[in-house]
Amino acid sequence: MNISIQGLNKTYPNGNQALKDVNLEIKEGMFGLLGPNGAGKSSLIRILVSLMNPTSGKVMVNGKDAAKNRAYVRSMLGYLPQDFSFFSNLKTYEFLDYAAQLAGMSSRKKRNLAVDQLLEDVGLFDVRSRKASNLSGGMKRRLGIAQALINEPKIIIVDEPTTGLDPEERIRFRNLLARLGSKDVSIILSTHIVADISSICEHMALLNKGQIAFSGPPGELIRQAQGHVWSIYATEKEYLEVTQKYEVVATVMMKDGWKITVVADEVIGYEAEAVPPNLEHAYVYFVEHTLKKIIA
Amino acid sequence: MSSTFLTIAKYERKILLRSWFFRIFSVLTLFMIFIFNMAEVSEVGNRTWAYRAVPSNMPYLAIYFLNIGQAIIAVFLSSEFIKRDKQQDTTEVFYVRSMSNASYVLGKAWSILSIFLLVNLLALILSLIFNSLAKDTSIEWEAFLYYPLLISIPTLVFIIGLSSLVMSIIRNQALTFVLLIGYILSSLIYLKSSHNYLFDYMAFHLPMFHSQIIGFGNWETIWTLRAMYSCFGLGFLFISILLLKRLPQSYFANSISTLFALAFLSGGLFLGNQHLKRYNESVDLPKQMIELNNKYLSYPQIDINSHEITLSQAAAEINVDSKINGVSKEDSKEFVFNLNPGLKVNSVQIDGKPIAFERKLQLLIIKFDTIIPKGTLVNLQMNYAGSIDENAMYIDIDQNLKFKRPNDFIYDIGKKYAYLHAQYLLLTPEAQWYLQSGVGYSSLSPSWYHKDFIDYQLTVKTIPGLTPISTGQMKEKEENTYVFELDFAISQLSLAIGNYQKKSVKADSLEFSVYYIADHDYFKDAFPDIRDTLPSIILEHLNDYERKIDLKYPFKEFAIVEVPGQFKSYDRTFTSIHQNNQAGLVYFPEKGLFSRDNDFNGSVKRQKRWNGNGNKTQEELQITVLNRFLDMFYRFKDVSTNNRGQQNNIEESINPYYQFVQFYEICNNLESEKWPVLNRVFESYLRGSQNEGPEWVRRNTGSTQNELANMVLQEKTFAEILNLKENQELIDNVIELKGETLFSMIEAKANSDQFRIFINDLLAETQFQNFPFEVFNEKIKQKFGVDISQFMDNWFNEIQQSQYRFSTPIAEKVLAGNKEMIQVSFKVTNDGSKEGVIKVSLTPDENKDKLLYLEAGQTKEAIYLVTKEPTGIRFNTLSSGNLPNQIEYNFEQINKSSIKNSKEGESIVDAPIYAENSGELIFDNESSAFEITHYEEVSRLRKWLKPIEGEDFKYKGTQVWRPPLNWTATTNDNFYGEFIRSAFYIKSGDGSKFAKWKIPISEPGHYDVFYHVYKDESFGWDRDVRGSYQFTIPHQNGTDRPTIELTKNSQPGWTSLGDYTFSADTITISLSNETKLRAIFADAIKLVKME
Repeated sequence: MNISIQGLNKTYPNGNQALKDVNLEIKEGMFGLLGPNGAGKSSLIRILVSLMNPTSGKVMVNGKDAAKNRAYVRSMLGYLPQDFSFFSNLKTYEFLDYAAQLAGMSSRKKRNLAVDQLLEDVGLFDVRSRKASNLSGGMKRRLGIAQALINEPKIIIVDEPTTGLDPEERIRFRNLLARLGSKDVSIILSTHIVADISSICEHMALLNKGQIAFSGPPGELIRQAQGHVWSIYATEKEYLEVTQKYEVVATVMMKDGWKITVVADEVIGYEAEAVPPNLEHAYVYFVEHTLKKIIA
Repeated sequence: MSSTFLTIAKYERKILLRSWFFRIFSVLTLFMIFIFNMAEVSEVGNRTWAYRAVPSNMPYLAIYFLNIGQAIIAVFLSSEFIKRDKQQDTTEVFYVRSMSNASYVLGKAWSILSIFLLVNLLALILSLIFNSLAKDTSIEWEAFLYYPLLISIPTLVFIIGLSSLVMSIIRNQALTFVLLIGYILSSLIYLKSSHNYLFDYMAFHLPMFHSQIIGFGNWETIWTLRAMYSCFGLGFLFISILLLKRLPQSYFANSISTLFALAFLSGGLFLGNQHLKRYNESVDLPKQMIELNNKYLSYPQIDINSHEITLSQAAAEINVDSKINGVSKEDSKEFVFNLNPGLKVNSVQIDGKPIAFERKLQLLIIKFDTIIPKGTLVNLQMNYAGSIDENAMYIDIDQNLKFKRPNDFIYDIGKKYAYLHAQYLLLTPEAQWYLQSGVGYSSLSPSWYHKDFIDYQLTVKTIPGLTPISTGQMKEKEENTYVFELDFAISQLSLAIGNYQKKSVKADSLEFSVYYIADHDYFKDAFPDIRDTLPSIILEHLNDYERKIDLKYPFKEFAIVEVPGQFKSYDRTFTSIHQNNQAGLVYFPEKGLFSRDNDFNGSVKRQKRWNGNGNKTQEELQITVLNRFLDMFYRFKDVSTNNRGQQNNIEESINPYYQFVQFYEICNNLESEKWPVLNRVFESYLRGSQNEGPEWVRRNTGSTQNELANMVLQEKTFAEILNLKENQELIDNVIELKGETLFSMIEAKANSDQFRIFINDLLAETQFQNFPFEVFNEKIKQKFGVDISQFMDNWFNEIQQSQYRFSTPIAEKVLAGNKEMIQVSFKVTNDGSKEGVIKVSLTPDENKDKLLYLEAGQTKEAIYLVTKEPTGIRFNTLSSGNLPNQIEYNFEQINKSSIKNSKEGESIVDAPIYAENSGELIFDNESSAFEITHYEEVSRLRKWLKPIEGEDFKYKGTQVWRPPLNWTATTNDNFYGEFIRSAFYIKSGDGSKFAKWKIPISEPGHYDVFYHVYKDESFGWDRDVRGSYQFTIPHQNGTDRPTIELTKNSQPGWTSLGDYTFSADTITISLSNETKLRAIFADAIKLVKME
């Protein structure tokens, strides 16, 4: 499986340029698409799932132009949109069955097995006969995931999948994706939650203001932030000063003051120690520090 | 495509079936169909015969009802789909699946269509259950297929397509809904049958009645329109596919959709265009024909004496050999005939030699080489063949009337004037299927119409197995060839050919027959208990009628001939013969479906159920039912109501089955070139006054058609009215009224009991031939010394205004000779500018009407003597300035008087009758002293929705159960009025609306004041009705507010309001609308000067 995004641009009729010359190579496995809100993630995804045409550029899937081979691309696709809450008057299993038939599962027997299995996997088997519209928010999300996974798609694209899920569900979901990612499947995970990517993605891209700011393994992003993440121990007095001066990643209240984690090239005038960065630190460092510097 | 299409349809159908909106609609519709079937079809209700008479009407009824609902609900459901697509993210997960946009849209459309078809199936099952349980009917299985196929599917496909398209474009469900409901309402209410039902997408107006004899009336129109709507619907759906906000699966798939969209839209446009073309032809042809008729109106003609017609029936065509023997009316080389333009003339020969001819639409102009002198005997032979163009029929009838939906049934069963099918043929003279001399209808002059009594000899070669029906003795000449022998000349010839069978009974020398289509003898066991007496009952009925009209039935046979249900004929000004009538026979729509009186078995059961009939024997009940059926042939007019604006309107038309025509118009003709209408005028005199509609007509409309005709006659001359475009519906009544007035006048002037006997002798002498008016006049002149022609011009061209004032009639017991008798006396003054005649009859109606002739300004006293106490007296002022023109007085008590030697007769009196006695001042609502407060209380919306068309008459009906919100003029002979007995009435209210009488007091002094009280019909049926009339009377010493309390027992007429002193001034007496009664009537105030 090889998805090649080449020189993709998208400008909306109102003049807003959502994507600027995006180039990406996506192979099998989990691929994380990270970026702040409004970075162009959803636009990129809508183009990838053939809901929208790019203004220019193209998406090649296994060497075929996706715009000219929609049937080919769509037949391999599983998609979970960002907001997935409105349901028609169908029962949970019916909804999944509907999706299964549209995904090309014509054999009733196979379909029934697959539907039951997926319902089991996402923990909805017990509520299979409940109307989809009566499921809780988390359950609806899981049903959304299930419909994206039905008939073993080769390309799974999920947009902000863990929004609204409780921690337990989030972990379950990540595990489910990770399991699929081990097969010959490309999973594109678009999110603004760094933890989603750090735990499961082998590759990632960072999208900022419509452009790819970084593309590579998450470790590479973390490596770039090495030595740029600091813990500052600040008194009550210094607290305000520090938060105004540096890019704050985390703040912990201590007995005699504050422990503030910041990203910066260096820290002068405060009691500080360098700490090993995680992906979240790396993301903030990259977006708020490196990029700003480049632009400046 | 097919599997995704079906998947989408399957799940979307599931979603729809779970929608409460749809479920409620389905249940309600099915419930309504159930109730309707209970009422109309089942034994419980058993109301309308039409459904059981023609069984296809039962599934039609179910589908018709359902279709109205589904045509609207489908809009909502199909726009709802796109709305859901727009707002639901779930849609996106389907959009990314591998399927074509066509699968998606068509799948959804099919899901809607299929669930509606499911409801259709349930409705049809319901109908089938009722159908199989219903008595005296059968099941027409095909109808369960063709009605949903022709009505539901095109309707749904079109509306689903249109809704999807509109929603795809404007993407707002509310707006889509409003737009489409607007479109639906326009098609239902405004466009209706416009352009031959072109806009009737739901086949609400389109006649889709399926006759058991010939099937659909206008199959071409039906299939074209239904196919057109299906094409448009599919076209719109394919455009919706192109407009779907989803990237197409492939550009190839899109091209296919574009191709389909174009193909279906072009198909729809093509069919629509074909339909429009045919419609335009149907509109243009009559115009072109009239133009031609006008042009050739005075072209030379041949007076036909005998006509031999040999007609061969082919599938949808006829081939005719015609031999005409006639006399040229003028010196000419060319003569004009008319023949239906659908028939092609192949050859014309004179004495066996070919002769030149020219065909111009309906006209055939025969061209001789040399001038044929007037009076030359001409023998023409010709051959023509082809079909009948129905557009060439009834060219004088307005298109709107042709498309007017009749009130008979829930749906329009359609109109057909001629039939030419492989299994059935019906040709009336209107079809111009045989050659007639001269031109047809001309708008220039009524002189185009002339009746010729011709010796016809008809030979018919039918398709094997069919039987022809026409006037005369039918003899089978050879196999499938029949000859009709006639021993009298007739003025018109009709022919029906079908799978006819005959049942007949004989009474005296008369044969009563029914020619029915095989298996349609539903009546055969209808009267088991009176089978033996049936002929005598029928004959007795006929004899009673003969006595009533004082004429004898002229034929040896009277036959009822069954014809397809759509057969239609129109009222004409120049003749009262409907195309249903032919010498000795009447065409009757299949199984008499139009009236439940023709459901004999059902009628007997209904009779039994009715109150008071419980003890009647089967025999008595069957006689009642038979008599009701027979009454249909003796009833002059059909009266029906329709609601227009806030007002009920009455529609009157000549009953097409009315058989008076057999007694006069079919066998006699009073011919006048100058006044062609004279024949109808004379006919109306012979028929006598049958024109007064039932009492409910007056109550509903305020005026009978005759009174309205009288109103028109007060403003226009007879000649003008005959040429009027408006008030066409009143022309019959005007003719009746003028006819009755003219001949009553002649009879009154002749002043002889022998008048009618003399007339009858003349009619017998001139039977089956034309009777020139000049000869008629001469004979009257010789016998009675009355020259009719002297006052014909005035009668025709002047507004004749006579108006009458009556004294209160008195009935008293008197001595006449030695015998005690009842003397009824009254005086009457003709206050008009012209002579006039009134008809007087005593009730109960036993004696012949008495005529009273009055010169202008003359006063007469009339005395009538009768042996039996009359209950009242009725004056009919005929064509005059009096409204209403029937005035009735009841005699409460008949006392003994001292009069001896009383003698019947009339005498001229010097002193005229005045409205007011000396010392009395009367101020009526017709006087200038009367005023009302006027309010506009009709809402704008109502005005917009139901605009009142045309000009209205001043006087409206009296509807006490729903009185008007404004003061409204109405007439009634119980109101006060010098000539017009009218009042203004209004719904009871809060006292804010007043009627005022501004009375000038020329002589100050003390007056008794009276009000003319009218008791409306609510006093008749409501025992507890009571309430007051509240007046305000200003007088010299202040203002009084007297009231008149009314109860069931109060006396109507002049009622005292007290006595008052008035100074020399104008006083305003007012009456308010505040009362507990339903309505207040403002009529007249009377002041009587006290000594």
